[in-house]
Amino acid sequence: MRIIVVGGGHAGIEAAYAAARMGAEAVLLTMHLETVGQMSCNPSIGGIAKGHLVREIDALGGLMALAADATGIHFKVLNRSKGPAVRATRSQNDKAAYRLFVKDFLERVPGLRLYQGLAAGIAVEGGRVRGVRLVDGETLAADAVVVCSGTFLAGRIFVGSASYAAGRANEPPAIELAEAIRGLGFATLRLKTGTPMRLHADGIDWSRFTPQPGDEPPLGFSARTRRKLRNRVQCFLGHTTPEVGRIVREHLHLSPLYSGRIRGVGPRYCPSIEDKVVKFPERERHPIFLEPEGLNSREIYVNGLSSSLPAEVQRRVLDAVPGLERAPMMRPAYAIEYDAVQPTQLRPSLESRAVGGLFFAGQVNGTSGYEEAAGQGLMAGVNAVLEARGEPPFVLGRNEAYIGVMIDDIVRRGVDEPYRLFTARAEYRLQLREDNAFERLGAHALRLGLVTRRDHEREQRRLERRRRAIRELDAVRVPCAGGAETLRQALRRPETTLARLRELHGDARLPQGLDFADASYIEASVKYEGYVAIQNREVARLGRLAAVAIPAGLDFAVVDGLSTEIRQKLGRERPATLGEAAAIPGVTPAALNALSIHLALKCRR
Amino acid sequence: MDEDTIVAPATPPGRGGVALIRFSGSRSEEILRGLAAPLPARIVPRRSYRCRLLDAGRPIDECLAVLFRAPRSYSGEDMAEVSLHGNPFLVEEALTLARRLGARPALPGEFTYRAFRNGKMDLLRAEAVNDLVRAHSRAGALMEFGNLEGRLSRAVAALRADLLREAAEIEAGIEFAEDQALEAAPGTGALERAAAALDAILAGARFQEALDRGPRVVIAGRVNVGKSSLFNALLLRERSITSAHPGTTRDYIEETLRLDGLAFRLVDAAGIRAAGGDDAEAQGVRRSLALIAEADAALFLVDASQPPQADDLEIRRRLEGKRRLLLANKSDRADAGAVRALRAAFPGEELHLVSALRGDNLEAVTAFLRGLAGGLPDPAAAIAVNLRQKGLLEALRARVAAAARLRREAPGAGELAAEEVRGALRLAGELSGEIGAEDVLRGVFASFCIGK
Repeated sequence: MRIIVVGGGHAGIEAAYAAARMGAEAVLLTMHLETVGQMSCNPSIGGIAKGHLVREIDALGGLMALAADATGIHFKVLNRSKGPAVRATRSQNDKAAYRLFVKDFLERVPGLRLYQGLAAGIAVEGGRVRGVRLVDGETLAADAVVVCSGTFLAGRIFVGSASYAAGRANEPPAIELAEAIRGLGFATLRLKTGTPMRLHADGIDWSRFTPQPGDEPPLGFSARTRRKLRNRVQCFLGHTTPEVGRIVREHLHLSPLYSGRIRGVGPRYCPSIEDKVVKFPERERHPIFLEPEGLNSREIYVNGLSSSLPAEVQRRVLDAVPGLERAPMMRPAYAIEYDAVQPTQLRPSLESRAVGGLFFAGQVNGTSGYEEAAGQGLMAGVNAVLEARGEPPFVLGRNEAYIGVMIDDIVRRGVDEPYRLFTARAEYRLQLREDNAFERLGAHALRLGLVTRRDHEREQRRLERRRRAIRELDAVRVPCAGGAETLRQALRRPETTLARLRELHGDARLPQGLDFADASYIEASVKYEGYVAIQNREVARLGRLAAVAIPAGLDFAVVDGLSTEIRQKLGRERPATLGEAAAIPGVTPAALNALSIHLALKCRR
Repeated sequence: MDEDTIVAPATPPGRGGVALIRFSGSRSEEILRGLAAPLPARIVPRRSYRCRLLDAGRPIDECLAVLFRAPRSYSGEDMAEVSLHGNPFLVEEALTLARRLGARPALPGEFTYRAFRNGKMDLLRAEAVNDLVRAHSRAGALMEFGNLEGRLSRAVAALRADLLREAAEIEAGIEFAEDQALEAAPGTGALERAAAALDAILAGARFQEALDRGPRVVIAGRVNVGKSSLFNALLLRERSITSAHPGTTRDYIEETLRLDGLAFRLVDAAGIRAAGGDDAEAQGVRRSLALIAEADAALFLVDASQPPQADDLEIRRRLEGKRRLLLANKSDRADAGAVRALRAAFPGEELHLVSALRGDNLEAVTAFLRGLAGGLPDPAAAIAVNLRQKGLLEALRARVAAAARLRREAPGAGELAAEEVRGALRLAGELSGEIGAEDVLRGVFASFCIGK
């Protein structure tokens, strides 16, 4: 069985690696072997919600967590003082090292072949994918294909008034593939993203910035990382000035974002400096993080100054930032506009509804971020193999994983701007934590053959150790305001941590040998118990509702309160249950209400 | 649209001057033409036409016919109304004819359900339709009308806006505080505003409950001071058996007293005495004490012809803290020394001399009852709340309080505060029927009378 993955970015890597782990012959087809695993934008992995994704990818045996640990040069847990559900790991990475690590790693994976070539079309026969057509006319046969084309489909870069066709700076776009995908009948939309300028470190006046050191000891992502992590650089925080706002406003007409030359919709959550100045005029300053691109590079990534203004205006903006006046610009910021495939055309497995065996994953589905791409890539790789085998797809629920939340969001609702994951998107946020990714996903990973039994058993032992520690908390009584309580009761109070209890009652009385993740797991289990019980009842209720049968012959035209569009969709898809109806893109909760009421009234008639 | 056209009588069953039959659905006009003639080729919507009700072309009654065109109708669909004479046999026959012409009998609440589905009203207004019909007092009806006009809907919308603002604030703290070096924003005060709004609505709900059951006013006094006489005098009829023999009223009697559109439940309790009397009387005394404890207010009755007795003082003790009016009955036989002693025994309380038998000075009582009602919120401003809504509002209040406490006392536990706010938002969505609470919706519309 052969699975072809088109594209060697973060989605493609995980797709090919997952397919190979499941025993398929995986071909990772890329324009340029040198750029496999390229971090096209910021030199960083993880962050809030994204760190959660990386842990899930790790629990499913993926590569991103290992690569981030192996090439990390600065590690920090964000929201460390907040509740365990929203604590998240972030690493700064050596970009070149990351790329080399990934390529080297993949080259050693049995059954995985890296292949340089430019995909120009998808071979389809009888509604089913047959392979990938290369630009030289050759067709590579495949049982399933995963398209992970990132920003390359009909990509176009904008810097001021200049614009040129490109998939990434100085790399050609995939024009023919974009046309081929539209030719298959897929609806696409234009999205826009951008990246800030890179500066030479030697010209920066570091005294004007606040150092942001990594955590000591540094904590990484992967349960499989054995090497010792080290913080080897610092990041720095500074701010723009009102003068920056003035310069940006004065030159707004030169920004293709505002002159109307970019039609694509940009990410609301990762705005360009133009967007920030226009949308938040009351803010006098905006934060800037300076992040080193690597140990063997003097390039500094200027997080917060993404822009599509002409290079000379970018220079004037830098001149107005204290500390950056004399920093030479090595690469100007740019905006890129590209084709995304509207993901409502996909099933929850990421397989396209129109063409059997054809999958899409990553930025091409309208998402943004390395981690979002990697999560989809992994799922698409797994599902490509399952589909080719004729087995049911692997779909994660919204209560199981952020990966499930993300895919459900995009395939059900579609995107109108680059989609970014937030913890706020998860209804079951308290249960989707970095510290319990194995508990949530370990059994799936083992069943699918994504992890080794040895890795699984090691994590199982860790989980048992944590559960034992929770029982130990029940056994220790300590004094409190109204008499005595168990350590577990004491821990239940908001803002009480295991570390605090250690200070109060002495280390000896608390469970031993716990690391930060163990402590987070235990705190979460104790603090969230009541909330989780309520959520589980809700999950069960929704499950019961989803099981309500829809009679096979039901005429959706007689159901009140459905729009014509939803009636047509239901008529076409013929869902057997309310749950299946809910999974159809565009079927709103209100429509489900109407349907459920209709079914109930019908019974009473 | 292929929807059924539904039909139901809108007036209650039984004989009456006029009965109204309503239709809703795309075939309303066609069915109307089958039922009533003559009608012009082009019916002007919302105009009454005097017609004859036809059974297979044979006239059986006179009627008035009105046609409404979608979306300018109650349900948002084409609708028709036929008013005929209020004879149940005629109504039944008209309904049979309508069914023969293709109309389907409406399910409970189906007209309002269609209005809700067609976006003519939200769930809260739809419920107000039902609750308005069921209101027990003029003030209650006025409060329900306020809801029909969207008073509760607006309050819930404002509440949701506040909760969303707070949710956004909390989420920004979680997602961006460290990632984007976001400067902490000062508290929005949204939770406090939401809590205050909920308290006001729930206070209105308590008022409404009092209206629904009527404030309970107990007549309390020892045996033979004339409680039943006062009860009868206030109700202007002989409901209680009165006699000069002490202990006649052994059980309690309750009647509704209507005053200014407000219903009071007036309770005549058995007289209280510490000793003597038979078993049945002792039981009555125990019940009286319980009634006194539960009542919203009391008329405390003493005898103007006798100095204060031990039983009077005991009853006064049990009325401590309750809104009450001190009445000295038998003013026609009042003893000046006794009245002085009574005033001295109950210092700080205004004593009103009345005569239940002669009806003297009973205005003091009606003034007191009006005063009771005056202490309640203005029904034109208070928000009516039904049982379903009250349960949700109380749960909502609890979650808002929990969120506010977490925000105040545990600023690091944003994810828990967010959980509470999300819960509150879900409840607010259930209140207005905007989010998935299928069982609730079904329950709400099933409680309607047919034809609304």
